[in-house]
Amino acid sequence: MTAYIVGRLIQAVPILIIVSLVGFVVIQATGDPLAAYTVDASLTGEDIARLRAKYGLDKPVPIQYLNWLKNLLTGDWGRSFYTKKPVIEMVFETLPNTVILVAFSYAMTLTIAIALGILTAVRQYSVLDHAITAISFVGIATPSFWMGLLLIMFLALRMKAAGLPYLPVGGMFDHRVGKTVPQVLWHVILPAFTLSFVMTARYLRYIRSSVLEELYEDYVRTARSKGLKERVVFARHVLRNALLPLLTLVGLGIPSLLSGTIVIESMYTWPGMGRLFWRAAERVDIPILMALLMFVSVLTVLSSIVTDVLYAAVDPRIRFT
Amino acid sequence: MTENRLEPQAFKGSPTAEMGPAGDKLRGQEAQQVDWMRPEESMLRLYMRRFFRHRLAVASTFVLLFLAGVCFIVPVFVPEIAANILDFEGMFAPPSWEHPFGMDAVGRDMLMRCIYGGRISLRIGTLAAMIAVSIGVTVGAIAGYNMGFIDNILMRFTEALMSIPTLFILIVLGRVLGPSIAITTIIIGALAWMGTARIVRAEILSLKEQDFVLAARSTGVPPRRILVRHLIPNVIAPIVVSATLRVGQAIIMEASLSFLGLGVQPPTATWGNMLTRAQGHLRNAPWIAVFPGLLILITVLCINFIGDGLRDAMDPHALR
Repeated sequence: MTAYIVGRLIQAVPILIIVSLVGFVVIQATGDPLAAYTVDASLTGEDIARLRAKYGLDKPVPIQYLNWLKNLLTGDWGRSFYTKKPVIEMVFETLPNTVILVAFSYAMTLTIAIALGILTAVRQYSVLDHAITAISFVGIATPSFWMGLLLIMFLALRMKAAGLPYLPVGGMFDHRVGKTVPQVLWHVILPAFTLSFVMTARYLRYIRSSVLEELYEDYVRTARSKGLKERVVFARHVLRNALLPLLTLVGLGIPSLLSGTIVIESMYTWPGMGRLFWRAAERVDIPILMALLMFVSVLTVLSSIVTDVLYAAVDPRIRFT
Repeated sequence: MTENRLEPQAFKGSPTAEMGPAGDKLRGQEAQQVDWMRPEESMLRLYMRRFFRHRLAVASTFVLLFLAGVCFIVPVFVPEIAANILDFEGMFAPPSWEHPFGMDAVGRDMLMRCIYGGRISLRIGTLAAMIAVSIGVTVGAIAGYNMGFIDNILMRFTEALMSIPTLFILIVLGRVLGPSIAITTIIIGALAWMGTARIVRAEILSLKEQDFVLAARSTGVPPRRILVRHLIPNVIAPIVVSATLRVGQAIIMEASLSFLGLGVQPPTATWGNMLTRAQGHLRNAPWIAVFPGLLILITVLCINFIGDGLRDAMDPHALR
């Protein structure tokens, strides 16, 4: 097992190097990072040149890349061109907020998708099944930001207009109350639900077909024929096998989920990594962009390794090779 | 029937032979007998017949044709200025007979904008999908046919791109290259090919061990010709299905990008950029947000159903 994990980690290295190269080349092309300084009239050409030398921007791109790589590996992620704060600090300030958002949307997705997926599989071809299937097809085809607009309209604005309790549409907490746990929970509902809506529809379809597939396997018939109660057959045998593939789905879904956070966090002004990225992109803040890119790629690669290891740990049929 | 029925099935261009290994193995003797009793039918006819049995897919095709027809034919008769006339009297006018979709924040007719926007959105979706599928098929086929070093390099590159959230690169690239329809299309296409590449590679990997490839190779057919004439035609079914689904994906990507204010810029309308400022007007003019989004939803829904229909129609395991 250790050998397997080490092997996978070694395989991950070239992938991450390619990601960083692609990112570096693309971001290099975004233009002059010192463009903001050239506007400042009090700076002469010499000052700019000195700044350029200070940030190492006067060297050829390959050397710049190697320098950046060396600094990254030694824990020096550079400073933001704008706020002048260390990048590592800015990333880890926003990280917990994104984790809260993502954790809540995964919790919502899994609860709803597992419950409805099982229900629709057990009641296959019932009215309920058809209705939920139709909704989930619509869900898969919905752009998440549009869902967000509709949710804001109905759950916030309409409710407020009707004098009913309504959900907040921006920020993490009410500034008059402060950042308390109930406040954050109250504010996370809308963005988390928006983020999870499309994902829920997709997972639901997946769970439904996977339960249906297992339901007619031989081992289920065996379990029934030896007199086990239907509930036991279902919980101990069917579900165990049917829900296993979810691991892969969750593990591989992380990059697209993080894509989603960029849009959703900008919509709901949620102070997370997605919004940090969006603002850094607006200002061509290279150190932040590169740090976030690498952070997310490492996360993606690690999560795929963890998924595979977990998969083997839960399913005795899978052996490491 | 005619005497060519006596020839071995595998050389007859029957669905089983055409579809390669999966069809051969799974259908077996019994299925072949069914084929023997039926007159010859071309692949295309067979696919069409199966597709038309899928009612949702057929209905979706008509809805999509109608939408695309409106979006592409109306602009022929109505000049583009109709989508850009500012009528300050009519700012935020709700839907009426005269303006069925209402008016937006500067008094432009939402219906005309939806039509002109739809033309751009559909075009970007289709072209981006075509770009994505071309890259995907090329990379997948080359990787699948050349084992070892080339395969390794290409697949590592594919995996690397898959581990970056697409929107990250889209946003950065979108800023670099500036907003235009062509650039938006190309960027989206260049970032959506990885799935197709993996499907094609997997199919080619199993196909190239087949006897017909061995036969071709032993008669001296050069590798490129084997790839283009013998292998890729056998992977057409999954390619068509993934191309269809890719169109929907590209439309949503364009919409997200334009919604964030990148991508195609106003006054040129797309379904995505019409929604950019909608969030601020949800209270007094919800129709600004509702209609473009609804059109995206309907289009993508139809495309997904058509994809499903094609998948079933071209399924080599299906018996009839």
